[in-house]
Amino acid sequence: MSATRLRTGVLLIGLVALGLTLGWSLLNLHEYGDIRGSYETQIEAAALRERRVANLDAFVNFDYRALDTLGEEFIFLTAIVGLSLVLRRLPGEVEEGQPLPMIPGRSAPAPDELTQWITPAFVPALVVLGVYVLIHGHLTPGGGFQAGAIIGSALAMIYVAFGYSAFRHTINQEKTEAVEAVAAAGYIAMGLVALASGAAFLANILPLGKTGELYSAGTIWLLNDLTGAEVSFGFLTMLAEFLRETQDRGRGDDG
Amino acid sequence: MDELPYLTAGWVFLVGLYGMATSRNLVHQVMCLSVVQSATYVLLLSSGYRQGGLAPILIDAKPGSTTFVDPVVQALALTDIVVGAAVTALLLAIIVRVWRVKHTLDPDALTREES
Amino acid sequence: MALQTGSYILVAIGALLVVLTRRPERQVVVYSLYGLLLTLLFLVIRAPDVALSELTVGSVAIPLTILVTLSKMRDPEGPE
Repeated sequence: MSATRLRTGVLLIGLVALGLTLGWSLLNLHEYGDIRGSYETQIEAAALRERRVANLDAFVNFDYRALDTLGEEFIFLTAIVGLSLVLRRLPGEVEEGQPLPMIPGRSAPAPDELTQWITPAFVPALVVLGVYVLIHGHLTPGGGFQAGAIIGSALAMIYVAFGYSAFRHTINQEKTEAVEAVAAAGYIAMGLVALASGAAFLANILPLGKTGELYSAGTIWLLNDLTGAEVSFGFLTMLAEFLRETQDRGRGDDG
Repeated sequence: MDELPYLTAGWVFLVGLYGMATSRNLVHQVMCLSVVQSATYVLLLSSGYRQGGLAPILIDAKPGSTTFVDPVVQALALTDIVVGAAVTALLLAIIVRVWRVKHTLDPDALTREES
Repeated sequence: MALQTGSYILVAIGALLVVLTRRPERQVVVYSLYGLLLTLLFLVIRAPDVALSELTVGSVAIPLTILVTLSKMRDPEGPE
């Protein structure tokens, strides 16, 4: 089709032009490996001296630039809310009935025995790993966002091994939505507490403690944990929302 | 090979854009969008790299004794990755809705129907 | 240094492979491997936090979501 050819031609011209511009601008950046700037040393000194935190990324995320993390967290929350909105039951669709094992026309594979054997061993270990990564977020690599993804993916194994009804029994969607919302609100509440105590919004007001201990570095661990709760329960809500759809939904609308 | 990192970021960006524009399946398009996003992470992290720098975790280090790579861009990238996953999920939810109504995942077919 | 060069080249090749795999069911697997290559790159660039993020999200969470989505769009006539 000549329309497609024309489109592809225009696309390639556009990509070449973009590529040349990108190449010119990217190659004018600083030498790779040779940052010209001094704020890394400032941040490092500030982290150790002022806040006694070991993980600089967590420090930047939850102390120096905690407002940005608030924004990112709320992008996440909004995406989950939007997803629930898009997948809600529209007028004219059937009410979610009994979860059917199979929808006619689709064949489900037999449940895998090996997966069912290793899941009860792995899922608790993965959740513990996720919680470890979460609460040590200000000391070792990790933190709220990573741990949230770990915990969310770990609990998804229950669906993979045992099917939808087991997942549904384990994860109650109303509860995960509630915890996600409460954790997100808790982040703001922590910021307002800082504001009320005379410092700036989301300032670090808790006692600092000793570097390397679990309850050190002020509010960082608290904001970290709240973010981790929000992200992990957000992932679970997202999964529950998607998986709820696989039941019996396609029968009532336009078909 | 000093230009390789930036060139890789630019290449991945362009490749992802090409994939998105010539895609014939909406889910394929969403994954190409994810590839484009990964190009920005590569660019961010490459611009924050310091030759001989360590990972930005302070373990028994006195301030000023060692140099670190830039932690700010890493902080940006790590939140970005997780948020990108949520946005991808939102796009997939929209795709499911589109499929319910139109029963096709071809972007060309979807635009052709309207005309 | 060679490790970094190799990682960048692998990421570039991986991105091309992800885009060239047209069918979503196969692209998911390639994308998962691409997430692994990115994780390797981020580790070599001294960014362990980002590598951890990319590992869980790019290799597990996103492919899982996509596969669940694909499983909902099955139909006797099939998506095309």
